[in-house]
Amino acid sequence: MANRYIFQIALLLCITTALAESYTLDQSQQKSSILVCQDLLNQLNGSATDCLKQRMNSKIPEEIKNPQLLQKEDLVLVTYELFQQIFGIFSRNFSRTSWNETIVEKLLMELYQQKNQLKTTVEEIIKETNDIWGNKHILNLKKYYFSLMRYLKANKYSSCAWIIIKTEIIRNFVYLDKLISYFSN
Amino acid sequence: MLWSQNAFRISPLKLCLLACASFLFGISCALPDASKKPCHFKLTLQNFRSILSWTFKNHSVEPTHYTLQSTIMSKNDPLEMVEGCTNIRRRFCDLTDMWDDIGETYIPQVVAFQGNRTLNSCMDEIRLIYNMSLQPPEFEVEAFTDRVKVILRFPAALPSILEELQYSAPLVVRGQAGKIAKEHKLGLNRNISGNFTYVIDKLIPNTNYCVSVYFKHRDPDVKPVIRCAFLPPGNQSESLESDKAGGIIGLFMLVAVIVTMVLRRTGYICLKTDYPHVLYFKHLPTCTFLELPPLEAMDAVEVILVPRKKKKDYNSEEESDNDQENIPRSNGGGYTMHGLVGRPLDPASMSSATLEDPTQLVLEEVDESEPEAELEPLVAPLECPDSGVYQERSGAYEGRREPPQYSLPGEDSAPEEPEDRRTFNVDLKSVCVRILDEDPDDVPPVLTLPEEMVDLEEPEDLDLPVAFQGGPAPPSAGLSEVDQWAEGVPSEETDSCESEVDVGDGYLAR
Repeated sequence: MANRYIFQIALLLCITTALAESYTLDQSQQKSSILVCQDLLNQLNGSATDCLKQRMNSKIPEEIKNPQLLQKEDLVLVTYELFQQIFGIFSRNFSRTSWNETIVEKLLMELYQQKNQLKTTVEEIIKETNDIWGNKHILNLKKYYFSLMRYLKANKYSSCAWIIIKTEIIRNFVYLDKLISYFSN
Repeated sequence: MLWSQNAFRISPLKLCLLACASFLFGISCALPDASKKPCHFKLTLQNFRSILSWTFKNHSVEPTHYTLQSTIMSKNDPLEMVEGCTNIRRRFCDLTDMWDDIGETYIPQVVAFQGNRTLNSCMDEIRLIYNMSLQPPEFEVEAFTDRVKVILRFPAALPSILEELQYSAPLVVRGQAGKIAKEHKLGLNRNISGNFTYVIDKLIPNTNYCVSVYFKHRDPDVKPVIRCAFLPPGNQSESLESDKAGGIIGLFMLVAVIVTMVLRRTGYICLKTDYPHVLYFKHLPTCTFLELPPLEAMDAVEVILVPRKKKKDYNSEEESDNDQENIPRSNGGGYTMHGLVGRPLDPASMSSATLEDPTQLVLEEVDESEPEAELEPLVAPLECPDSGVYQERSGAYEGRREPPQYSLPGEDSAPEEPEDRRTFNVDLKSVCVRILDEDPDDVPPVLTLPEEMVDLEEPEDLDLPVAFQGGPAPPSAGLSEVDQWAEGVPSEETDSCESEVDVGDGYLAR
């Protein structure tokens, strides 16, 4: 009986270590992908100074702002969730903006690739933990992005609403870059 | 027609102008929104301070003073006056303590005044990580033979934004010698203040080494300052110092060696191991130490009481004499007054006794009248007198004193002594033997030694009296060499001659 528990713990440690090591190898790629996304977002025109009256009170989860609150394994889940939610936001209607669709498509493609690269790792973590939906960090992230989508919908996907959301997403990528740099160091 | 011609002529011109205008309009749309703004903001991190500066494009009227306001995009807060940046004449403001969130988008608004009249106002959005120009910090380089010291001067309190920047734009010291370059990332924390020295070592002397310090950022516009230093070759002063140090160390080692040798010679350390051969215990078999060697040589003496049998053939005088003799005599000194009769054993036992244990002594109280007939083979050679001797020691060994267990040949267990036989262990060194010649009438136990074997005048001829001689016991199988050495082992015969001292009154003191 005790041997079985020891075997399971050892197996879990091995898998976790392997996942952490494999993710370490992808961190440089994650950082470069984040820089690409930030550049694409900056190319989407629209001045935030024209939309000061439509600002929202952002509530970015503290998990993103403070790396100390996360474990290294949580970083994989947070990164995956962030790419997935941003992909979902920019898949919505932005026709009322003057944004270049090509830039948005490039952005969506970059987000999709990164999401797919993390998908295998995230599935393995889910198999091990069986509790990804109970992860409070993921829940907070879902709440946050749900509030962004609700804001867009409430403002009828207006140009200013999209500019506010774009500014917020840029901010997300800055924090994510900090997260990855923190764990890579 | 004219209109049409004019129209035709004008229309291409208009179309051209329209196209040019639309083209220009299109270009202007593609330009950043800053082009429309009347001012230009610039945020610079200079000497670890965040400095926001601005310039107005319209120079028709020169402002006299400015007021800076700021807000952020992540909250729906109104513009607020920046402390220390209201009604200022300068065109910059230090926002190090106010703008500290590296991911935030800040909205500054500067209002230009000329007296009490507002000339213009300008607003822009600034993202710290994208719009901040990270100017390289000032540093100094000190070159040594094989290393370079890079000295940075940090402010007394390191701004929090620098701590945030180390993830997105870490501070890097880049060293380059020839075409070989290497980056050293500096970890910054709030504890760093004042002069910070970073040493790049393991460099090649007599080469030119260039150092630059900058924030590793993707902004290519910032050109880091490069400072070069020539690494001097190993100069003479350093070689002299090293020679001095080597000389001191060598002298110290020489003194240490001499002191060690003196101590070894005198035997304080490293004792010599050339002990005598007998002290190499490791070569001796372990069984050597199984039985403890006797500390003192002792002689076992068996005194046999043979009650005189009255014979009917003897006269009354002889009977009375014999009766007197039956009473054991003892003096106040504890010595037995039994006559000690040295009795030669039968040849077989004698030889064995002599060979096996020369310390055996047979003392027999015999009937005077029947010296020969009463000599019974009462005593057999003692097998192991050592044990008995060892147990008969005085002093410290009295507590475990036991009667010696002698066994006759052929008997496995010690026989019970008959009533007429008592066994003593007598240290012959302190025994007094009475000379029988002085009182022939008295019938004390006499030494009845066979003439052919015993010659009191020539003790060296004695075979049996080896025990009588009273000297230290000859070395037996049970005695160790160490014990023999301790005793000195003089010649037994010589000892016996010298140890016999006539103390008078017919006693010989041994």
